[in-house]
Amino acid sequence: MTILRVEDLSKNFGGLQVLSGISFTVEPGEKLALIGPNGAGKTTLINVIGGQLSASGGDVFLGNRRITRLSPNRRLRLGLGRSYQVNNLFFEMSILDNLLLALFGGERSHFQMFRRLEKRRELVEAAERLLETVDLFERRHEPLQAQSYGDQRLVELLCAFACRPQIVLLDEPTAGLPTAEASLFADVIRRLAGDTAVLFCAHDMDLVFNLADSIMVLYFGEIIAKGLPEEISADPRVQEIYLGGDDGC
Amino acid sequence: MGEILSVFMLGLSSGVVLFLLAAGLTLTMGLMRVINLAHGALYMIGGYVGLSVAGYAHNYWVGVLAGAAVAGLIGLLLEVGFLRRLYGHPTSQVLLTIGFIYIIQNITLWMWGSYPNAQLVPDIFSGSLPVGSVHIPVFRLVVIVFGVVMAIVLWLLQEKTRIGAVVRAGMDNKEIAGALGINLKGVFTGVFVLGTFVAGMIGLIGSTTATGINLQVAWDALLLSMIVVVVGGTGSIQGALVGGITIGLLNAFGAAYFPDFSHFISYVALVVILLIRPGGLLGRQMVTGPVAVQYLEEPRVRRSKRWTAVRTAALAGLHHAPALLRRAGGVRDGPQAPVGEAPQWRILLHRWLPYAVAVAALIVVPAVVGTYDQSILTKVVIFALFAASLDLTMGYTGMVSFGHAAFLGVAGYVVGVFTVKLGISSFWLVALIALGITIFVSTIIGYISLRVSGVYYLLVTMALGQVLFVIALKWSSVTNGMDGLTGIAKPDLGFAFRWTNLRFYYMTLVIFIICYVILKLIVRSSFGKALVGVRLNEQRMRSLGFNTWALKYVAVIVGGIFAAVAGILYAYNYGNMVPSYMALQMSSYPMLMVIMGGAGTLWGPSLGAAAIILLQEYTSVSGPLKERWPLILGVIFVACVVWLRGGFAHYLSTAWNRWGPLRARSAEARAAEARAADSREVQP
Repeated sequence: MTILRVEDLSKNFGGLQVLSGISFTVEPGEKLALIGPNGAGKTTLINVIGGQLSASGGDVFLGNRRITRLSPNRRLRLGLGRSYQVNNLFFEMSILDNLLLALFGGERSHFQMFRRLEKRRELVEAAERLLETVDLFERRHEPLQAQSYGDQRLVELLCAFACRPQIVLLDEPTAGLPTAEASLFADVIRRLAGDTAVLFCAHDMDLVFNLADSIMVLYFGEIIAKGLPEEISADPRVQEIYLGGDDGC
Repeated sequence: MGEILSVFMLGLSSGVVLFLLAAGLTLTMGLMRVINLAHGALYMIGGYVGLSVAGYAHNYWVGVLAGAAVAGLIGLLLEVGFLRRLYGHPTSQVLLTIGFIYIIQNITLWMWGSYPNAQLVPDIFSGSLPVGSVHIPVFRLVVIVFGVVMAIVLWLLQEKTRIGAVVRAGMDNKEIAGALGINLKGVFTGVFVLGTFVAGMIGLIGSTTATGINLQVAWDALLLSMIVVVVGGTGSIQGALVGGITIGLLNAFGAAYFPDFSHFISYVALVVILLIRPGGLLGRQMVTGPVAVQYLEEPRVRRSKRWTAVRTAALAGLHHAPALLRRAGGVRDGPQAPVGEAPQWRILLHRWLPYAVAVAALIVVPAVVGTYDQSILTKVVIFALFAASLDLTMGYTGMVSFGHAAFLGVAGYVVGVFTVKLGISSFWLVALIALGITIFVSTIIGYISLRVSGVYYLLVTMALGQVLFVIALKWSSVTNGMDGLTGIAKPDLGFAFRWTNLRFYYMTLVIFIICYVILKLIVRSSFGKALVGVRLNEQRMRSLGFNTWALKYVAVIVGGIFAAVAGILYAYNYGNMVPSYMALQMSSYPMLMVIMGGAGTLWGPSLGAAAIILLQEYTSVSGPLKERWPLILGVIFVACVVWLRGGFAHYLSTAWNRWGPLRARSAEARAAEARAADSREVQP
């Protein structure tokens, strides 16, 4: 069964058409990369699917459920996690607290007024397991703002996967990282994701070709190609955009 | 027909005054994102100065200009001396400008005395123009023409000069605009001073169209101009014009045809606008629905933090790569050296000793002082609870409310009405009813005020608190109006008990301790952590699956419950309830206590309450400073903003921890310190 289905999605900011006629599906476990030059609408598409922006037209389905008009928090509870292009975390809290909040967010009720988050054994263990996968366990009590940018980026990733969603949207997971660090992220994401589906957008072609099962090319708000990595890299239109194109991205 | 015309002209002329009053506020708030609550006080001082100067000079317009000049000068001092350093810190701006209200009001009282100044219509405009069966005062027409001219001037300034574009560019990205060679500081100061200049200018004209001027105008004008800004939509002269005329006409027609409800009409307009169009009539519509409107959410600070993070990453470059390589590859560094652990009893002693000392002092001291001091200590404890209840919403959740006294007032009035009017004496029953009704009121206040967020939340809570104040004032059959309810007997606990000041103090103390412990449990709970998350990054909380609206809503209600407990004790302690117990001044107290003591610590605000109340009681009741207490209070507000940014909780806890065993637990202590530091500046 399809996890995510986007049908004829469009988005405009006033007179500016940013997305038009976007339709695609994501299958369980699929790692789908979203590429395209600057301003193609990648982040906007992620934001519309995640619920941070409302769609101007069309629909988004999670499983069989239409989520086009749901708030971001409802979408997460239904199994749609996400990360941001810039680190969007609780910098003043500790690493562990960041993850505990991410895990707590996936629970049904958030009004437990007398129980401490730190005393919720199952949450703490889940958080610590996650931190062990990226080797942040020892520093779990340190404030996030004292960590290097790369480590904050890892926490951003962990938060997106914390509640074991069915699908995770990753917006430029390696943004701002030097190449050496970025090259390891494909591995980390694959390990974290397991059979969770991932829809990610990236400029970093190493990441795309390391991680993606299939690739979708967005150009001026429209999908111009979708297919296996080999097909996409052989596609003349994509080559035109990326090699002979106007911004040489 | 003639009557309608007459009312229409009245509404139009007062609408023009409101427009000019709100114009400055909307520009500084919408464009510069600086909130100036002293705007009404500047209008007031403009009126006083204008009246005096016009009297001396025998020329009305010289008075108008003099009022404008004085208000403009104070505005300049306020902007250059204080506000300029506080861009991006709305809470500090709020406290600072509240301080200025108290200072300006008290100095005005000092210079002009407490009697309202009579209105003054210049001779040349004192006639009236016969239109059909009615006479339209010439002065009203002059005001309307003046307003039209000013509207055109301001609109041209906004649309057709570079100033408007520069201000907008500057607010959008200060650094880039500065890099383009724009003198932002100068432009911002200019806009701010222009706003205060216009407010001072309209002071005399407004006092002429209304019924003179008095000290209360500082608050009334603020409320009205704030309603105009919210109704019209912020950031544009057109919005202020539409809002001002709308409110002016509604008030005039309301006063003429529905005199009983005339005091509520502008508030009803405000609430209706918030429910159907939270962005204001001409405001840009951002997000609608049950989700709070995101106008000012997270103003400048976070963006710069992100930028810093990106920059740090770029600078760090490959420096971190080897470590990350190892970590990401799953190779773990050897176990870290064990951090020094102090013995458990030392840690517990360190944690609990301050509480033990505080409780012991609270138990012992009242027993050895006189009855008068006992009643002051009772007040201290009640205010400590009141401030702690605000800390839940303000310090932890980051919602700065200027209407917190509403909860205290409602609960107190319920106690008053049930004991005095209905003769129900049982403490338990009355307290239960008071809590129930306050919860009901807080669900309504919370629902309406959470339509907006950021600074607008502050303005809306202020207006809703004022609605309850006006109800207490006007619903005489229940509340006895201005006189208030008197003769509330000490609580009947259901068994024979002879009340003394000391015994009532101990009951208050026990209730305070119980409430404090519950509040402490709540802020330490999962729910409390989520509230802190909402303050730090509401958008992220939403994408983590939290319904942040519901979290904030519940926080408002829980905060209201504890404020209600304070209100119940307050009514029993004083034996009376008067409207001023729920006035804006009363709401400003816990805000100051929270910031002075240290937001987000619970004990800090309680300590702040003690400091303020003790200071107030021992200066204002007798002695040479009796009349000058508001001035002192104003200076405390300003001093807190300028010198005490973290509140004294921060300094005390740092000093205490330096001494104690927590120092050894380096990582945890550092995390705790970082948490303490982040709670120092609240972002509404």
